[in-house]
Amino acid sequence: MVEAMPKCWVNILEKLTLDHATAVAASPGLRSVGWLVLKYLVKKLNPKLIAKIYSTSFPVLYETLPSYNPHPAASGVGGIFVNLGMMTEPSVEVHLHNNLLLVTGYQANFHGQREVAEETIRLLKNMGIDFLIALAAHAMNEEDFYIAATKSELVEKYCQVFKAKPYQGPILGFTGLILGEAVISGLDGICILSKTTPNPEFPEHPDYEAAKKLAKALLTLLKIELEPTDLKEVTQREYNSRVHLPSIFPVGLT
Amino acid sequence: MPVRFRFVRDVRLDRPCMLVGFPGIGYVAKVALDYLVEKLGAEVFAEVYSHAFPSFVVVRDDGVVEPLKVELYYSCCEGGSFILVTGNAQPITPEGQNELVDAIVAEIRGRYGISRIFAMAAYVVEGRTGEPRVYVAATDASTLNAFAKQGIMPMNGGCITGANGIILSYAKALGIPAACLLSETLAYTYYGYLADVKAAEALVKAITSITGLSIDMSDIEAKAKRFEEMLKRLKEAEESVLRETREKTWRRDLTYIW
Repeated sequence: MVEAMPKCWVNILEKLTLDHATAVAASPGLRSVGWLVLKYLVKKLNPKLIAKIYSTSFPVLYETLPSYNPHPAASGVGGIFVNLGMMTEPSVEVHLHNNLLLVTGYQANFHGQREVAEETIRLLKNMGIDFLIALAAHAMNEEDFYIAATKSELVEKYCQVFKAKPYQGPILGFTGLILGEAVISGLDGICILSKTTPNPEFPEHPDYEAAKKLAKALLTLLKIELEPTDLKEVTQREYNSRVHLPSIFPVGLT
Repeated sequence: MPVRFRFVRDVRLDRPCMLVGFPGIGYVAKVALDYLVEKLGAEVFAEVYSHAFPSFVVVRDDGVVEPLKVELYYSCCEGGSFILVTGNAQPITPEGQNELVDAIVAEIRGRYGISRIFAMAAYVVEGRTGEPRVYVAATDASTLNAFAKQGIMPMNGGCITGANGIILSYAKALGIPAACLLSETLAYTYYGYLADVKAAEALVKAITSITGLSIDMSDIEAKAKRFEEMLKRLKEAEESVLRETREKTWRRDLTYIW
């Protein structure tokens, strides 16, 4: 008898226990701002891939836009990615750089999104994370940065650090849900939302300038000496390799 | 679609009465339930999370992240012991709504037993004059009659959408006497523009009369009065826009008369 595949599972490539470590997480979201910063850090810091989270609810093609606001009736299309003949599965990736975990999120469909968020936070806590920094964007045309956090003391502190105001409103998709899980499980965390201009036709179309600003602020906070002037060049190919619209089928789609 | 519980306080209750007000049309049930929580001094003892909640978290005006959740409160007073159920969201699929309600009823019944369940909801009408009427739908004739004695009319036809309605089917299957009270609300609120405090006030009155609870009504009465005044101004503004539009159309139409 064949055992049924679990709905969401973790593949730990390297077992480790960190001490008071921080995780930075982002996912494809508004103008891809947070996701671009994460991809940039992964490219530039050369971190080690230590874990992957898989889900049967990860589409490779989304039926609704944006991917971070899924509809229960539109599950998307399942599949794998192929690059230079090599396949990869859609997944959440966790990389390690010193005492910092870089978590590249993935938007599940409606039916699997909360399970993925739960697994992600469980994994991070088991690895010894005690602080989460989520990256996102806002379109409020006022402050450069807004801050949301799991506790009011953290909102106050990081509003001062980033010369920001407290954010109010919803945070959608993977990034929002892991922050919710952080609250439920007692993990401290903040979300830095960087100013962008919405693009209603292509909500995830990259805003490299907003990402650059966010990357700079984050790198200063993390005390990492890196000037993100080349963010666009480094991340453009990554973004272009993603499939953004159900109507635009990639070459070689079967 | 799993449902998770997080108990934050250990409580001992003996067959409490459940009062239920999930957020729905015009936030009528939620406003009423929140008022009962406040006036009874009810305290939260558990949080419930569903995988079928919408795909976001709420960030409050002070910047603090609040996950979507259902909260279970308890109160012991002269009228007996009560569990009050509300939250900041409902699951958005029928499967999720059923699972959540099933889990809550099973958990509470398993721990404490349940004497009765009274849910609340909104009843959308085109126009409302005077006090909102309150209707009732019940699981059994005896419960329905108890409400009839209080002058509450039985709901005749239609449906009760969402968890506030679904909970009656689980109560019925388990033999728990249950009813859902519905207060008249206007179509305005159906589109999510307004929280109908006037309709909520009517629900609180009906619930207190049936349960024998005695609470201070002055705050919700004042809020309901302000809501009615605001609604009146809104209607006047709407009628003025309609009048202007009609006038413009009439003048334009005149050009076609020859």
